[in-house]
Amino acid sequence: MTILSSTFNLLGVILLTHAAYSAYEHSLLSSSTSAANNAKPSTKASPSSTSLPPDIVVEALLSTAILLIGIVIGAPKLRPIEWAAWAGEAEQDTRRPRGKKRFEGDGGAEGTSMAWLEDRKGFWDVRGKKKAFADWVRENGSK
Amino acid sequence: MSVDLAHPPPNTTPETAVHISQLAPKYIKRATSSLPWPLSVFSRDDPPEVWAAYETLFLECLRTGDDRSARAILDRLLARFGDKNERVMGYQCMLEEALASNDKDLESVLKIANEILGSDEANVPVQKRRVAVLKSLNRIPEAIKRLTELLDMSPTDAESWAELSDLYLSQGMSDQAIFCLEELLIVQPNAWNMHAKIGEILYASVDSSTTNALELARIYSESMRRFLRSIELCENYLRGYYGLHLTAQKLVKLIPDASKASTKDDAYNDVALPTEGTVQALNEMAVDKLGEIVRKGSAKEQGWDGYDTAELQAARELLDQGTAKVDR
Repeated sequence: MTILSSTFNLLGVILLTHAAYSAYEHSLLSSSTSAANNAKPSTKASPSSTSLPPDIVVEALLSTAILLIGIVIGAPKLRPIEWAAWAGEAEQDTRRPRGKKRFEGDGGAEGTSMAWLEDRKGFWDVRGKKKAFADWVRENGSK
Repeated sequence: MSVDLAHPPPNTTPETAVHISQLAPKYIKRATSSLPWPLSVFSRDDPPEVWAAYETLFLECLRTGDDRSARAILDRLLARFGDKNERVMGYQCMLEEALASNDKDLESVLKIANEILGSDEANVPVQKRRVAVLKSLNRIPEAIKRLTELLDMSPTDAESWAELSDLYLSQGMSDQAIFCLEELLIVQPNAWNMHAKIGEILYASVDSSTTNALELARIYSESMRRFLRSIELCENYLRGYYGLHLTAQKLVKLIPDASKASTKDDAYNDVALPTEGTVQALNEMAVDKLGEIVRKGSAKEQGWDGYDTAELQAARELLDQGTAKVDR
């Protein structure tokens, strides 16, 4: 997906830049030719008479459309609006390994499920946990 | 196995603890930002996730007994946040607790905590450590007293309410435990696991002395409502559906007797008992959903891969019990 969206974005940027440059060149060209034709600068061509050729307009519109598609494709997956749907995923996310989480790396509040109310790091029982771990090691060693 | 250190899974298994604590030396060797503190905020290697990862590593090192790595991590935290940081002071207490080999050593940790709190009573992390040490020394009444003092000071501390509830529950005081969780729900009204917890406490509070069908039906229906709320707040919540199935099963038997009795007893008319049909429908829904969760969760289907294997096993056994009864 990222390759597709970046191709679209790159193509869009190139085309848009090209359209902008063409429009600039066209305005330069038309003003210089009109200046050469009419010696009097006061009768300089009005902006309405030097309209852009249709190919530049089409190129600009098309490049914008391509850019839009590229950005939309590359956007991260939308998050559920409903609390319950979000919570269901967040609850499962706490047990999913890194790389398989539903809400990950898109700058959101990942890992904010309510599990912290049961873990309670502030009241972590150091001695109890240590003892339980030592017991586990002993049990697994005897097996 | 790749563990997200910044957001570790709840109730890490001993295997995971070993795995995490083995990562610690690698983390300690990694060079730190050379910039001084205010500038280091802007550097790329100082995001909050790094410090959350250090916290996880520190705790798991304490658990596995790797005190040297824990000390190294604490030194790094000290270098970054200074020894006047309240959280770092809490971590220092934790390391002392881990080094304490007997109750007498632990008493001296308590003395240190008391000294710190004597000069700064508002140091919440150290207050919590004091409660944890008292709990570890099995002085639960004193721990409850200290914790209520802490909650008097900061009544919006959800973590403390949850801990107080557990302390009360360990003393068999389920009414007080439920009260604490209800206070917690004022602060965190969407905490679906705490709604389920209240349901569990209510379900477990029924002892053999309660034989009155109406009384039983009231307790179970209250418990069922709590489980229903947890399901409403969290889609496909295994724990909620498990509880719903348990309570609905009980209620299906109790409701016919209880509804007869309820006409005589008007003492509680605040919440009406559910009808038999409702309970039956809810029970069927719970069975269907549990079956779906067990099936898809065990197969690790897309979007169903985050269930605890032990919980899935328990749900499967519960469902098997139900079908065994029907077969007979």
